[in-house]
Amino acid sequence: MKEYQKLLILIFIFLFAYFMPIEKANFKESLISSFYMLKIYAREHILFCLIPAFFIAGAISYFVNKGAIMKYLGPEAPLILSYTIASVSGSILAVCSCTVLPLFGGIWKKGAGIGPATAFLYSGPAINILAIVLTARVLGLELGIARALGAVSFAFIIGLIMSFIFGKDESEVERTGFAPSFSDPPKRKPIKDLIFFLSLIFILIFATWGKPKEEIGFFNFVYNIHWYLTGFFLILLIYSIFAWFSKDERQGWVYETFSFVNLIFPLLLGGVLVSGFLFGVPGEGSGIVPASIIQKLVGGSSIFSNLFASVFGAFMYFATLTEIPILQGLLGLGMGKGPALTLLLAGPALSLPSMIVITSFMGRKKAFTYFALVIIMSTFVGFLYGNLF
Amino acid sequence: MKVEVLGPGCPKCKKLYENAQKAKEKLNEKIEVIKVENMPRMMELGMWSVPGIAIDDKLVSQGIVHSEEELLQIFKNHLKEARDGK
Repeated sequence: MKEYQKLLILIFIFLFAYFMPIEKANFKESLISSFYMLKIYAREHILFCLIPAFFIAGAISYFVNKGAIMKYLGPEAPLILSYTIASVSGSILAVCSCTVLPLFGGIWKKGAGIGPATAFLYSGPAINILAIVLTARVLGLELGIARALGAVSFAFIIGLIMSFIFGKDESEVERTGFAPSFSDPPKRKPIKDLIFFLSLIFILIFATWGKPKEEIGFFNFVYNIHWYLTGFFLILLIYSIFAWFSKDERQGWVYETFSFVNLIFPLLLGGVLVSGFLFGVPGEGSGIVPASIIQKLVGGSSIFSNLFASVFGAFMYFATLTEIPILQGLLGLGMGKGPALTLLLAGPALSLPSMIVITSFMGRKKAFTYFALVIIMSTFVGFLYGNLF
Repeated sequence: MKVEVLGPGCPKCKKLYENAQKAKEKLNEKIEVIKVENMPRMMELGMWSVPGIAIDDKLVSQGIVHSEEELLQIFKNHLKEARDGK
């Protein structure tokens, strides 16, 4: 860090301290709300939901052979297959936004073309596994499923439209296929990998199994034994990693998991604090932003409120996962569930910084078409969701 | 020999760049290690998985954070090939 940057930060901190309205009651309450929210996350979401999800993301990133997936995004792959793989593989190929752009460039210039590449560009940041899991946990299963389905079908449709508009002036691009990924041959039978991944996923599912409203039926039966099931799969997991995986692989997996935690966890905690401060804790304490403003802008599910959520989400930068506490706060203040879905569909996929980067190498015409498609379609889908469900 | 470490600034790319620097210092050869963060260059080289390494304008590896020792081996092999070629 340069000297003058340090000075600027000090000046900023000083000005904040000087003008901080600490004597105002609503400022005090917002500060308390901020830490209240942090405590709720620490108690309810981190141990049994986020930590297993981090291990899953680490496993996907370390063990899944990306070269095998890229085969379906190459120049010779059948188009329908390319679109489908591109729309869902965001959850597997990229958990961090910095890996999305090179993959996008590769698919566009060397592989299946602009359509599947744009599908991937959208699905990459929009449906990563951590985001879907935490959305379902914090904002409810319904919104989690709506987000996953919405993002996958969006990716597919946006890809098709982009290919329809720009596909024909692309024929001269030389599609040479991908450079090899230099991955090693499989080390064990696929069934062993499958058991490893399934035990990870079942640990997540059973550890977070919620108490059902009625104390009868299947869900309640599972709830009564969910810790035993979690324990069973934990033992299976431990057995499988020690019996079938090498020491290097175990270390690589843990290293990958930690690098996600390092990258994402501090940002999420920051997001939780900011959200608590701005919007308060639903049902417990208020934040600095009054509910009336939120209800006016994004309450209900009119075209206006959805469009507002869509444009706001598209320009605003949400670090991975921070959209979730922010939305939780907004929903608590009376945001409609239509605009909430709109924000989930437009928010993580686009931000002002990412727009600038995308424009610089896609060209203005293609990039602006892509942004417009995301904004319009998010608005429309949020509007339908808010009014139909 | 020109070594390009390619990646838009993720933690893995930084790690690989550090390892490449260390490997370079162990070899008493004329090696230039540069960090490339611009996307068009990565696309030109056909790279799609971060981080990547290109030697003399040719992609030699991607998607792997090589250790210092592995990089040393890669550099040595390349230098040997370049000499045999002449």
